[in-house]
Amino acid sequence: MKRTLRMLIIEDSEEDAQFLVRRLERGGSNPIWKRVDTLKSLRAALAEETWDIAFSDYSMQALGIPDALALVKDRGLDLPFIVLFSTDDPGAGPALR
Amino acid sequence: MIRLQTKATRHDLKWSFATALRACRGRLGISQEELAGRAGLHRTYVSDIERGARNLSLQSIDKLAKALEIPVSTFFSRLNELPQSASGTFSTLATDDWVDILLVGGDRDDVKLTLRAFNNANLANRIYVVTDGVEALDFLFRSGAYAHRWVGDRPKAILLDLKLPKLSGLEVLRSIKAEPQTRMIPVVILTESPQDREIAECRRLGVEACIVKPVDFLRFAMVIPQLGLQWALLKSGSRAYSPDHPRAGPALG
Repeated sequence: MKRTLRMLIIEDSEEDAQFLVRRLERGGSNPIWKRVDTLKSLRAALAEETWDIAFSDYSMQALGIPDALALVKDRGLDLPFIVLFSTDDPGAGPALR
Repeated sequence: MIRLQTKATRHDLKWSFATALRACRGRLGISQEELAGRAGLHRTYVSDIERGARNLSLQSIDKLAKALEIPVSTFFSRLNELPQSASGTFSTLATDDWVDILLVGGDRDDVKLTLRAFNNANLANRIYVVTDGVEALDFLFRSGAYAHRWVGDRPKAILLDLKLPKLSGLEVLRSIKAEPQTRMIPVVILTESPQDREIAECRRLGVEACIVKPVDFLRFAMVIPQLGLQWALLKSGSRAYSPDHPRAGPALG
């Protein structure tokens, strides 16, 4: 029996967040999740609720990964923090695609 | 990939024999077809034997030994010294077993916790552990202690710690992404306190994701294995393919 995971998704596209959740559900997880896309909403989410894990999208415009990571750390939170790299990220490894 | 020997383990005599046979044939550098021809056996029969799927007769063993010009005992002298996981107690898989996930971890305690957590999460994945960068490349490129692995046996995903003895995780990553044979394997990076530079480099090299490990590794071990690794295939699955595309197929968790 798997424990329900509380997942914070730092992502500016609702569609991509839902896609990620569907993927996790296919893998057998049953996450409770919330999407945030600004530093302000991230700060609020971290202050108001507890989380097991954070997912983030590297190509986010509004909120840079280093800032998000720093915020989590500043709050003294010790979460696994996953940075996803999306394929259609224009800056992503042109030499490899 | 459908394999007949999925239930064979390194404790299985047929599988041990298969391993010894492949190693002996490999040393001579001949194909399965050629071995079959020399031994007067059918090609698919030899192929089955090498997959550990046949309980062959003494006569067949004799034919194979003659074809390889070795004493019969060679097949069995290896049984007690079969190369097991070079990383010792970590993995129950032999060095030439097929694996789902290659876990490249520098910290032995973390590796133990991770493996235990994957087991507890009831993931059927076959995880092989290597504990330094050089061994990781040996495993992937079939050199050193892994020279006898099959060409087609590549892990479905690699979990790669950046902090490794002997050769850094980034160097290992560069090698993986520089070779056409390994470039397509999804790589998930594990790192402690990532430099922006490091993450940017991972992105440039085309990894699927970075996991920033919590200081308390238990938090990692409690969460990540539960997720499986389906999400790591997101990149290949998200835009270019529909979720039900065959590429999304490998059941990683």
